[in-house]
Amino acid sequence: MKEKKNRLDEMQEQKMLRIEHNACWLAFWGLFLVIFGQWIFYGPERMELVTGEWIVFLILALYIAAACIKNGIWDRKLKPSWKVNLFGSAIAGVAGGVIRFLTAYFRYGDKEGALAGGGIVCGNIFVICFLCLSLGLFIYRKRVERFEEEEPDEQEKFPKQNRNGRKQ
Amino acid sequence: MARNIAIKVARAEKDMTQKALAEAVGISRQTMNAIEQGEYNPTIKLCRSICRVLGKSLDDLFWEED
Repeated sequence: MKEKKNRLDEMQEQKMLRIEHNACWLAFWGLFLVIFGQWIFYGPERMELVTGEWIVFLILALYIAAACIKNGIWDRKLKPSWKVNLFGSAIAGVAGGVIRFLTAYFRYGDKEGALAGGGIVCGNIFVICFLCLSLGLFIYRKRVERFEEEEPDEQEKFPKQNRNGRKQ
Repeated sequence: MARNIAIKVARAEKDMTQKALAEAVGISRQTMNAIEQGEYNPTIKLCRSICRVLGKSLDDLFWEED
């Protein structure tokens, strides 16, 4: 099928990409807040109410992660290292544990039970996040290595070579 | 997009690897490689950085003869 001609000029194309970028993250965090809100207000027992949102959120998250790794991109700010992954997973675990503790405590009033629940959720989130990030990091490194093998730099292979091909 | 031989030649004149040039202009080696292969169209800002590092003009490195 013949592809339709792009009616946007360079600047409009850049602006369009920026708008689509903002819309994507609005959808991502919007879905996250909707799911989070349902979890806080209705508890984990009623999570089937947000099945659709969960599926879309997970597809979006998986697509972003897979597309970035495929293109050898990790993050704008964070370094691809297991230490950063450990720190990020710990933050996610603690945040999840605290939220679980607070919701359980205010719902049932049982401090010990809420603490135990919070601890379990904290541990689970930490382990799952760390495993996922470690797997992602492993695939990312393999991908970058493959890029290096696929696109060798001739100058790297033959250093100290001038443009006439003679070694200096 | 055609391959950018001019950058490769200018880089060889300065005895720089793709990695060294990429680091000097603050980009990844993959991006530098994509520019040389004509797979990525760099912004004017990046073109100017490459020219500055290689001591060439925009015409020298990015002008394509018809």
